[in-house]
Amino acid sequence: MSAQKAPSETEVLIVGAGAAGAYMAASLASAGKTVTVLDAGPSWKLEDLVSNQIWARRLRWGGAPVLPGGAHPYPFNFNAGWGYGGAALHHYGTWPRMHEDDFQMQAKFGRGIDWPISYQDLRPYYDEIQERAGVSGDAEAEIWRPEGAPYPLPPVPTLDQARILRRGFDSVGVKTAPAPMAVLSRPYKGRNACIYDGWCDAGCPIGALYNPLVLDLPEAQAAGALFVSNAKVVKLKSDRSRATGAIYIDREGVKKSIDASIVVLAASVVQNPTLLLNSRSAEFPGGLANSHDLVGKYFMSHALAPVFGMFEEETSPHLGLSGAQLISHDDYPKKRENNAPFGSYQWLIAPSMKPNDLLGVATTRADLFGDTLHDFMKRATRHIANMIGFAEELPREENRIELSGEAGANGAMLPRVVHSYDENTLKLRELMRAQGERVMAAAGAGEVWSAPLAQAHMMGGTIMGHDPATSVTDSYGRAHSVQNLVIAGSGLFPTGAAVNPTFTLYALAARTAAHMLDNWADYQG
Amino acid sequence: MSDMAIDRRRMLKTAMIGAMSFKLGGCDVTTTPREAKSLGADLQSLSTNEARTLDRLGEVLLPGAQEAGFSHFIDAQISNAPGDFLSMLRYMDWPPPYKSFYTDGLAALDSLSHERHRDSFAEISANNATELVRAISAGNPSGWVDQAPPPPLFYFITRSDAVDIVYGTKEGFDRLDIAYLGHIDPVESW
Repeated sequence: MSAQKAPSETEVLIVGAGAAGAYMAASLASAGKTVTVLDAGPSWKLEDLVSNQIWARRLRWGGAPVLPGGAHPYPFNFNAGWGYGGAALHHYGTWPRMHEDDFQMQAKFGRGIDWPISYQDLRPYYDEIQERAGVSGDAEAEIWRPEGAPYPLPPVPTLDQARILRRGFDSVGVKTAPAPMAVLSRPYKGRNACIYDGWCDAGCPIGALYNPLVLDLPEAQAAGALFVSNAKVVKLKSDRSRATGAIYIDREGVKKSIDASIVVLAASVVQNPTLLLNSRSAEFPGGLANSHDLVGKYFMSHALAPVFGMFEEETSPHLGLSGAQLISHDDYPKKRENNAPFGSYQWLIAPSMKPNDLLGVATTRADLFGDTLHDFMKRATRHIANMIGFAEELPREENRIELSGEAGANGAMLPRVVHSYDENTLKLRELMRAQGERVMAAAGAGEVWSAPLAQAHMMGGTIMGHDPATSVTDSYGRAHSVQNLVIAGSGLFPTGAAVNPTFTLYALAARTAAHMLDNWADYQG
Repeated sequence: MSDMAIDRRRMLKTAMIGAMSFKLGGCDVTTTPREAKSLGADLQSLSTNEARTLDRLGEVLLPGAQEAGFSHFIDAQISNAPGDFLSMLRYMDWPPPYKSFYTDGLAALDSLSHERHRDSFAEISANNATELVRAISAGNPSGWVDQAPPPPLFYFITRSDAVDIVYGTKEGFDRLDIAYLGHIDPVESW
């Protein structure tokens, strides 16, 4: 792909070419809108997705530093992406739906923040997106799954590692189901099926795992959308009441300006509020869309409990899928008896593991080195099994993305993510971890151990709601105080649930794109 | 596995990206860290002494790392722009430039070695080197230079780098007797 140059004006400016940005570019350009997408990173192509954990690190965030803060600093670089496809280029395609209760946490439980929409409002978009992306699963086996169309593809297979771990869940009476995966278990609409070689973390170059380079970006480009790589947006422009475009640094390091009738911010949970806060003006002294000082607030992540076991049997952990083969939401209900911690959790069972990298075999025993590590690697790369618990974190105002006061190379203030789990979340994570170790032992593991607290999935920071005094956007992601500014992505989630956010992110983007096209003049302001 | 899948894999193997770049006699050469080491390629960012300390550390962390080109691997990484830096340090939200993470950590390790054993880390006995690595893995040993990276993080990252170079390659998978099965293989051995 040659280096594209952005025009000086466009009808729609989208900042960020990740999941939400590329999807909205495809939707809006296909409807005849003139769309320009600026992304801070490289113009990745499918053939760049080399099957290797070292090369795969190129896909992780490589832009201006995001500074850590709080008692549990969020690992941004590992979880974020940059360039075309964004984080979705290396996401694992585990696509469970949020549950109905997740949308009504305050109304039903007096905890968290209610979504301004219900599951039923989002359901048609879940159905639409799963048909488009090609999701494999067994809806009936997911007894906890809310109403929705059956999956378009049969489930992914259960390989050795998952078969062994299912034995443990069965023994302790916890139900499992094939994981709902945005991975093709069969050829689908001209795309190839998965071959289960376990390299999803490095990106899927054959497009069996849905990522933005598979459909969205090519569709958008075919419809005339212009994607510009290495274009680092440093500030949104505005007049008295509207966003008017953006200032960005191009690949040559030259400061440029682009005007737009509508601006869509789809630059990630951290970068969206960073840009808004860096976009101060006389009319918006606290930053754009920040009239109630809420931009950046209510950041959330999932508290993870990775659990490992060593088996006599061969587990072939290098095969399968980086996401999961099986899933369990059997303990998803929010309330428990005897003052046990509040909130949901899920198990993702039998993710593939390669020898190296953060989620690789060697890291599971970071205390080992020397010949002992060699011995462990020889055994574990054939006999280890693993599963990861994801515990819900409720929104708290003090968990936030803020400007650090330190300027980056482009002159814009660098963000800091301030994040600490509360006692309830840590107890919920511990409850989950203990259950995981029981399951692993019941499966027949000779040795069982857990990793320290880890984190994944960013949510919140630009939350949506009905009331401009308590939320940044309406239910379509439109900023309450800036009519032609739309925010997309999981930053909109007012409460984060305990499921992987990408499927919900896509469903929200589909709902927003449809509403924009039906109400175009209104969005232009 | 279906024939179609195998054909697809073979087809995709033809798409490759550039290998690592090293300097040999002032010229840029593209090769593996192991070959760069054996050919005596020039170091771009590390001093000879730093590379010697790093290779010793690599051997303690995972025997075979030195021969696999450990110091040349790290030297190449810290010579790259931050966006092309491929050590697992990239995940740790450690602000670039990344070179100082390694050079400051190596200096602190050497200083600790001098304090405890009156010799550089590259020269102390195997038992003493192992004891020092165990000390930095477990916490903040007395004598560790304050300005250096936290010792457990320095241990974790350099250990991960050693695992990368020994086991994160096609050669490494072969050594473990597990199939690599790459959709798109990296050039040469990693």
